[in-house]
Amino acid sequence: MKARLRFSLVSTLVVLLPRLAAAHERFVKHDLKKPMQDAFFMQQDGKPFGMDPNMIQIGLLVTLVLAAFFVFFFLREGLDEFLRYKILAPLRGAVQRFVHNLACFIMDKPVRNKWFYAAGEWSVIMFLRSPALVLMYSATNDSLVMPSYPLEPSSAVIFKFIQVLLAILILTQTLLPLCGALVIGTWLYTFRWGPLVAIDAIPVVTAGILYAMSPWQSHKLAITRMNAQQTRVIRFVFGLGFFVLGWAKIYNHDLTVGVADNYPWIMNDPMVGFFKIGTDATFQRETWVMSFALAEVMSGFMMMMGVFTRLWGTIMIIMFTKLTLVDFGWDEIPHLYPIGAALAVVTSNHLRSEFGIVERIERAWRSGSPAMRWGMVAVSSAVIAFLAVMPIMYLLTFTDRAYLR
Amino acid sequence: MQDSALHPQPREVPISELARVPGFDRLDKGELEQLEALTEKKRFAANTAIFFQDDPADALYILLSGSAKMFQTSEAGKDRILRILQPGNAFGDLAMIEGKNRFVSVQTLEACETLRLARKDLVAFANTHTWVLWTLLSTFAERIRRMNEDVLDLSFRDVPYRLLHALNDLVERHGQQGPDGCRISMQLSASDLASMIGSNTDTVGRLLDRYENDGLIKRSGANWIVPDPKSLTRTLEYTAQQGV
Repeated sequence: MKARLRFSLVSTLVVLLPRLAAAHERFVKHDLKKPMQDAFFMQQDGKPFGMDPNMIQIGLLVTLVLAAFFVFFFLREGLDEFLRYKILAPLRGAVQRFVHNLACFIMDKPVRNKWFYAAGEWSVIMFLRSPALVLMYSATNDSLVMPSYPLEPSSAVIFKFIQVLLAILILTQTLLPLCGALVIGTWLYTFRWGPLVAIDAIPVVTAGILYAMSPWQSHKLAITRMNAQQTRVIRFVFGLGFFVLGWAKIYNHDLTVGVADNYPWIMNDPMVGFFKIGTDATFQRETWVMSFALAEVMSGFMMMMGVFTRLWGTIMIIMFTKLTLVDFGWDEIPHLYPIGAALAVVTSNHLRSEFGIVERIERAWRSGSPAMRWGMVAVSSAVIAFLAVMPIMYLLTFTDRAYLR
Repeated sequence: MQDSALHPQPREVPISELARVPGFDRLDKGELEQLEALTEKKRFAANTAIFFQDDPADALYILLSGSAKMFQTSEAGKDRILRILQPGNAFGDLAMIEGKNRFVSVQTLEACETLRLARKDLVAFANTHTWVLWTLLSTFAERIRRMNEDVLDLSFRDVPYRLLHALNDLVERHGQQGPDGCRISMQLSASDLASMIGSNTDTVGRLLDRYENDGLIKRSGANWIVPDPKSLTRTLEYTAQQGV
């Protein structure tokens, strides 16, 4: 494509972006049934580090669980050895290969199986196109991207046509880099309404990245696989979205618990229940917000860092599918985005962690003293987990939430 | 490095099973015992993986008895057999020396007995017996030569030639003379042969039927018998002349 034409198209669409994003208005049902005890989330005199002890307890439990996952991950080659020589040894043929593939899946190693490969191809095809389905659905429901963002009647027609045009480009794989620029540009513009809106939309950026990293001749190609670089960027951004969204849930706790007040069944989550164990019952809703948000922080951090990516990706796929099909219904159909992204990442054979240095040291120290090696892994895991959870939680107790009301 | 290290002379008659391994037959009794103390004997039932592709390469193996197939699996799950291993063959050495993950899988075709030599033990042994490294190098050189031949075959030869070449090779390496002709000792299906020569099962199945009708090969249960190996070789030569 000629540079001048490319520039004109991008300029036209970027000029349209402010009006597109101006239609953005969130109205998810989140009215509080009763007020929260705001002091719980703030600095309090006479408490350790000025933080509520229940908050510290939940934070430390999440840190501990996170550290345990890191220890397992860094020592997974040792576990792999145990699996090979103890579990797989008595098995034979197809059964042995199936168990091996299952272990490879859990440990983020390449899974060499034709069904898994086909699932991977299908996932990338779905991930590439799912935004188009959502755009079409939104256009027919007078909303912008998500049904919860309704279009202003005065300008609705223009934006409905723009969404349909973008959906056609995506469905036909035409000018994908342009589609990527448009999606990422729209996301950047959402910062105008504050970081919380932009944080909410981070998962959409994953599709934008894949488009932006595609060639201009995308319409001539059968794009069915993601390369290592694409997988890494999408995994990182996808995890970052959940990590930041988790912290945003604590910061904007009224919205979080407001949704739970209106959809009480979402409070029955086993992992969230585990993190709440032993906390003060008088802070029932406050500790639920903390546990719920930190569970999201934990899973997002592990996805972002590439630690048990497939395990967490699978949990996310199940969770989003449940939210879409069982909990919220058609209004949450845009969750096709994260489902598609998670599927594409989970079925990729190019997974790696961001902590290669710890893995390399662990490997190099394998011929030495086991105590030194395990000690190094334990300390590294504890430090990483602590830094991922506690400092941000502490800093959040200093923030002023008055303007959220 | 001294010449004696490059070309060590055979010493006493070895007693260990390790002495059956090409290269290790140069060790004297003491060295064999020293090396054998570092190895671990492992038995595998038929149709069992000794290791899988992408596993950490922490040891090399020596096949003492039985046979096994070494194969690569593509991301799409398709297998290609690279080599049939027989007693005396060492395997898993390349990835082990490289210090990376396995790039092939090895699966037994029948019950096998192996010796496992861990990387750190081999490194320590090779520090005092440098010629072991030359033995490994010569094994690598042979393997690279065979790979080059495979690449040449895949690039310039058609499927009938590649199949005849594989059968001829199997007769030479694994043939056992009997009353009906030369029996290929291992059980190989059309699918196995197809993955050895980089073709598909249907094509190979049709060709096997044709060669069976022509009397070049015979099925005997799950094994193949070549009634007249010389006839197979002549057919291979004839096909080679036609194909190029």
